[in-house]
Amino acid sequence: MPSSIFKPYVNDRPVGTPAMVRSTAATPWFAPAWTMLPLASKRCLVRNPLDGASAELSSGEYAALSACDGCHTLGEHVARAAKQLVAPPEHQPAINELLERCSRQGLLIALPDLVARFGSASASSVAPIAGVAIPTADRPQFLARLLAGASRLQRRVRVAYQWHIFDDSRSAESRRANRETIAGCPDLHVIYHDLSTSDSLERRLGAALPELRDEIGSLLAAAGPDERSCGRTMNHVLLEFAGKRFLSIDDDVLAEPRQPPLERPGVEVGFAPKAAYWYKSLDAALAACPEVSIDPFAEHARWLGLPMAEAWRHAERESGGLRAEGLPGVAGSHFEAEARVVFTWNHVLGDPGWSRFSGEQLAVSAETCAWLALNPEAARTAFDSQIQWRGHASLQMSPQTSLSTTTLSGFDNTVLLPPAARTGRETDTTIGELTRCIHPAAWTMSLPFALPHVRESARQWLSPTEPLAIDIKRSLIGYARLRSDSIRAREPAARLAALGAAFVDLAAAGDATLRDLLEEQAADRAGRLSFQVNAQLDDAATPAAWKQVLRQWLASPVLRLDSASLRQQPVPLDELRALSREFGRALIAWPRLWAHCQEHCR
Amino acid sequence: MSASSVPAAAAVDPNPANVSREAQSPADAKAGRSGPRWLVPGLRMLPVAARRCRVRNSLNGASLELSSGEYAVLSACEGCRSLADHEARAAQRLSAPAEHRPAIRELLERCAGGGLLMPLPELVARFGASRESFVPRFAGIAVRTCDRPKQLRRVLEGAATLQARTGVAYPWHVVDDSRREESRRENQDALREHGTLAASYHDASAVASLARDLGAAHPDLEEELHALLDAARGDEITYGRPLNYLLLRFAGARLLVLDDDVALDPRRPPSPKAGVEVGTPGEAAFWYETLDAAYAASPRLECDPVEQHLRWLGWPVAKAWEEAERDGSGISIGELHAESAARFAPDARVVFTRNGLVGDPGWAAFAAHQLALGDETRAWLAANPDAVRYAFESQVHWRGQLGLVLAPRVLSTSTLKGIDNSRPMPPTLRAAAGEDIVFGEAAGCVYPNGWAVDLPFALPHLRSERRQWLTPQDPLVPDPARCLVMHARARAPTIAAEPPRERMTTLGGIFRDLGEASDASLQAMLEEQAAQYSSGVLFEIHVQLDDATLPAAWKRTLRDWLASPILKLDPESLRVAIAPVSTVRALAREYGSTLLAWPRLWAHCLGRPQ
Repeated sequence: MPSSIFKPYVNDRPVGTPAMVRSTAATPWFAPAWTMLPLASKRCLVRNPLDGASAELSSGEYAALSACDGCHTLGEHVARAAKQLVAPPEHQPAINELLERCSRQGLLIALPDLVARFGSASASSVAPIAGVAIPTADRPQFLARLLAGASRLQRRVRVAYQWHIFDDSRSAESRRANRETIAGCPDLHVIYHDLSTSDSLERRLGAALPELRDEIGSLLAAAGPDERSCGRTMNHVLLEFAGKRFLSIDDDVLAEPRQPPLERPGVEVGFAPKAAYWYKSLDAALAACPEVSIDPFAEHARWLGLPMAEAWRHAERESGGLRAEGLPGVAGSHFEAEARVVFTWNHVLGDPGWSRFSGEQLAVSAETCAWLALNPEAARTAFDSQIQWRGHASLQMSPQTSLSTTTLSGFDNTVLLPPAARTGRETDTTIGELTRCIHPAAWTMSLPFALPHVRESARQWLSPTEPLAIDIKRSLIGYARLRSDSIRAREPAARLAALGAAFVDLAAAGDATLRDLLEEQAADRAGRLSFQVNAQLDDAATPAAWKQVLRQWLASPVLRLDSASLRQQPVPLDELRALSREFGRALIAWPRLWAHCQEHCR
Repeated sequence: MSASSVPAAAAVDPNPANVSREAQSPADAKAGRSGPRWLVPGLRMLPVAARRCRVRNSLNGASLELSSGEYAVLSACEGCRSLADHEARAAQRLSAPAEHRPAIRELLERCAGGGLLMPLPELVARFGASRESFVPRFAGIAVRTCDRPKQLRRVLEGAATLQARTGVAYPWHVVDDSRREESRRENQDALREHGTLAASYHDASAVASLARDLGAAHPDLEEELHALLDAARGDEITYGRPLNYLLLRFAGARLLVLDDDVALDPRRPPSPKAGVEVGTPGEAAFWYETLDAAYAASPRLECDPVEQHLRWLGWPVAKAWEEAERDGSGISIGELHAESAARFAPDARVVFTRNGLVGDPGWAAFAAHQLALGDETRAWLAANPDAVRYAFESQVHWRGQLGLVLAPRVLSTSTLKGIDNSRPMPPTLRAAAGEDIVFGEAAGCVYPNGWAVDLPFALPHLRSERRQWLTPQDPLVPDPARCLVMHARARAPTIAAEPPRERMTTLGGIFRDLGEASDASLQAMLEEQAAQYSSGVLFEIHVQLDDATLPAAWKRTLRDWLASPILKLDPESLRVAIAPVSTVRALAREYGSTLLAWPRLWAHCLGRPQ
């Protein structure tokens, strides 16, 4: 008699339904993000939300199972759980028995079973790269430098890409200079989009969809003289390339691929933080990262838009193989049939891309920590040098969609991608986060080569004594992250509309709710950074010089968590409401604009 | 859980050293449970190092850095208690040795002083000053009826008796959803016979007329109007239709809604409690072999049930609190959950009033309530073990609160319920079972600071036929409305808007979003909901099985239920325990659309002559 007669919550795998994979000792088992439902004071039901498999466990067994994470062999899971729980050796056989039972009952998933959720890999044909977009605004000297590099690259690789220059320059002089530069590159196939002309996309869309004029204006209208309008330009790019794959390169980048200073063969799957080395000069950086003879655009095109079944198969064939140990439980939902590579990006060499402060600099990776141990003097210049290499040592396949447009990035715009807010900073972060929301199974490839990002002037980075101003766009991005898990719709357009509705809803929140939201976000960030700093301070392997730097930051207002510090800054509530309402409505309208452009803007 | 007495403290002093000097009851002092009550609000924990964290009270922004051990102690506290009680409970939960008690006490005093625990007076002060505010208009008592003329006649007789006894002529509204012409004629005859009542008759033509009026003003909402107000098609059960009509017809007013199978014959609780309890206690339930036995246990109460509801309905909670404090026995604090803290807010209002019932307990086939007994019922069962014998046979129950309860939650089901429709209340499902729980849950989403008052009397709920209840061997036909309720409950915290209309719109969008989910995603969600539901019932059963005070016979009954297909949690059982995905999707889409349309319709009716 099956045990479920006596205990309705005990779930034996039904007779005749063996596990899909015949596992061996070397089979990696993925620990998904389980849900736990209490059944009695010391018993619970644990469910695997990916396939509904479940088992009844005691509270002690659940503690042991919860200590598992990542994707490891059962033996490794046992050892890691035992270490986390400080379990005596005599408990290891019981942990082993428990994990074997959990693997049989489907609470742990064999990696091949997880990968099978992508569906079968077929040699599908992805559309060719429609072009390389160059957003630019009043920096004709950079554009000229980039196009000269593009010309050299074209001669070397013998591939003629189509270049689309999206010129958002405010001054007619800049536009004229840009046109002259283009005229001086007859070997390049360049299409010039002057965003200042009256025959603009904004006007054409307004004529076709008059009921959406306000939303079109809020996404595409020209910015004021002192406004940053990277978002506007990127929205033009996304609409111009609606339904296509494209690449986008920043105008202050050199099209000269460089080798990373740290290389590991193979492909890593997961969320590992980027490694970073920093240098005293650009020459030193370039010397550490010699030029590499590849076509950076082809490297992006190789992965961009691939269904994950196929991308995984390619990754397995890379020399060095594929490593998935660091795959966290929350990544389970990315193993779906519709999973695809929506973004590609590569390393940066030079200016790392942030304008005032980045937590990445405080939470260094294990590789950077090792590098600091060998180069203790580098700790002192960590917050001075703006010449950095940042990237992953290996080709990295990430079940997330964080986007950085600091150098060159690939966009799979064959599926609906979201817009950015028209003005202000955080354009790439916004698009990345909203993409995560509307394509919850999307992946990003980080390619192991760097492109130089060379600015003219140094940035004003935050010192440990300065506070960080509230950035309402960042707050909205954080809010999108909070809300995206509650969206149920399947279609990206419906998901984007649901997210837009959440922003419109936020705009109607009371002062107390908004203040609380901003304080919670600030507390989250400060708490996370404090944890990362303290973890390094507690680690004996962290070099002493780096610990000294970290201690200075521990006292920074950015890391303070007391209520007085969190409330110190004036909160721009009306500004937050206005942006939330406007951007929410724009998100609701965007799928129609995108679909219109896909159909009509050929 | 018995309520404990709280001294009313006007001034707010967050320093526990100072507040502990306040008045204390002799019993508390003797037991060492001195000082005022401190509520543990919802706390957020942010790890800041391997064994350190920052704990934050988002209600007041206060935060403290604690070690992991200290956080474990604080997490073991819950409810609204004196520091001594918190200390004792935390020590018991953590099996802490006696020598750790001073450290626990010191920690809790630090948390209280640092704002992580909130003293009750500070919470009450958040209501703001009680103003003699305007009480919304009372539209009357609406009786929904459908082809039960005898029962309507009984209600009208009761109303006439009440009017004669109290001398108060309330407005009565009969909403007749009868399918049969004969029933409608009999209902009108009954109304004519009770001509002394100020009663209005609303039949299908009144609903149709309102729908026409709204359709003419909002032609773009034609589909939504059909979804809200259409007459029954075929065998449809349309309990929600008259409620939607009433909410529109009496937009801007307070309203009492009475079922036609209820007798206006108020009854005392079998073991009444004095005073007003603030909290969210489960309802007490007692069952009897006959209605006579039930009546003997709950004698007639000489009160005006309508007046009892109107005494509280629609009042700001600040005012209701004052009123409760004036009650002879004062306010006592019962079970207050962490989420209750946010409801101590300036816009807190009594949005629903409810009373108990005696007779048919109201569920159609299976109610988890009967398997999850509250403290009072357990004590009663321990004292009356013979009642186990007919626990699942008797359809004569007394269910409700034994004393008046001011509850920081929003629940709407009752024999006679008060609805404060002076501000927009959401619509409900026109033609689906569970329309009352959907209405209550949606109202809870729209009014996150809403309170309910549970009145300590019962009205007889008298059906002419027995219901077919499930046995432990029967499977349960899944209820799609329950899925909507659980989804709304899960998503309500994500709504940020403040004005009710915007909150309703967002809730509508949430259901529309659910309607766009893939089959696989909906199926997974429904299975997860089914697992949550069944595991919740199983947990309650196991708690009772572990309770030494309960009769062995009751435990045997519970064990029978352990094997019920309703409580099975294996994937196959969960797969068959869920409502069809297509039904849930259609219901979610339709209800979402009606919620989106409703604020416009309600606003239109508010401006219409009534």
